[in-house]
Amino acid sequence: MRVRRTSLRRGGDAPVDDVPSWGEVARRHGDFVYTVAYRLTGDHHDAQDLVQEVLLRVQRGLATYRPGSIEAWLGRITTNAFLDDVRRRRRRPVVALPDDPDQVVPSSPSVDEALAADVLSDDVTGALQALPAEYRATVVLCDVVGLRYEEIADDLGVPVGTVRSRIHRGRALLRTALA
Amino acid sequence: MSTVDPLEPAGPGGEHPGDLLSAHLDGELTPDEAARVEHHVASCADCRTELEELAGARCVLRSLPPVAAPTGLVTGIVRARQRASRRGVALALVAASLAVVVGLAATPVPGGERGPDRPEMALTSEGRRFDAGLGTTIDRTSPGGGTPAGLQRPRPADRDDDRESLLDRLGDRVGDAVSGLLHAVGG
Repeated sequence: MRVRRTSLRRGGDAPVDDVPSWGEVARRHGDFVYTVAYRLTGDHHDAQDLVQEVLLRVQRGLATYRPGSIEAWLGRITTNAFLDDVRRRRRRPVVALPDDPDQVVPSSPSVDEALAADVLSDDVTGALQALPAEYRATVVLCDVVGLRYEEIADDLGVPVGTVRSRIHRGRALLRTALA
Repeated sequence: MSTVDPLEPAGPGGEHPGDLLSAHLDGELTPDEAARVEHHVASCADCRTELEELAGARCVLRSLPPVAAPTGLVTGIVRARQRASRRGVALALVAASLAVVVGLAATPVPGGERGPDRPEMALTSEGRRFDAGLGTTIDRTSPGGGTPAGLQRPRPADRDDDRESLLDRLGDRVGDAVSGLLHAVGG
């Protein structure tokens, strides 16, 4: 099992023996991809663009998918698509603190709980956006997707020591931003 | 910063654990490393505080709720791709049909593949028809062979099934199929 954390994985995400169709993957895991995309971009518009790019990559790469945690696979495709975009543009300021009321996403719990969660979520989203993109990607792969350091190192093509350092510094910066 | 305990080096070079603290929270250390970190933290207030704050940040990140994709985003992407994919198939069919038509146009009409309701008939190499039913050869061009084709309605046994007619019918069917497909794709 490649993913030890299951908070985002609905229905247990049992290992898949057969390669599912692209449409099935998109429909069943679209919210997961969107969640990761939104945590990475901190912006609903950018997240939608990223989801579109990810689903195209998934369609092209579905043949290479090997049975395992499909969400771990989707998480790394999303993160790599995000980093590709960041590297291509490299113009997005890393200290963009979103102050957009549209970013409040309705959720299913009670209104008060939803409001509290969204306010907190917005703060964290803003703090995440303050991280350098590579740190953010590493932290999201660890804390949102739930990958092990070694897997993250493989995905990002960096040594495990770099992953460890980025996660540590990313969390420390986040803690400072939220203080 | 806290003072480093020189007698109990906890990390590489006897320094504070640093990023080993986060790795410890994630269970990414070897038992030996983890024991050293624990030992250091037990005697270093600053590292203890840092560990607690890191644990808080980690918990906040892991508690972030899932975000539902906007309604229609994923289905819209899927439908658009499937439409594009069907168009690709339709175009491939059109291309394949054209290839068939062109191929047929360049191939002599075979002689032995007539329908059961027709007499065997073939176009001889001299441009004459051999009517298997009548056992005769009809010369298209000689005056004795009758009126040149096209000027008179052929006898039932001599129904015109030459290449142009065959291609016309085939072309119509392909056209119908393709336009139906395109209609379905467009709809």
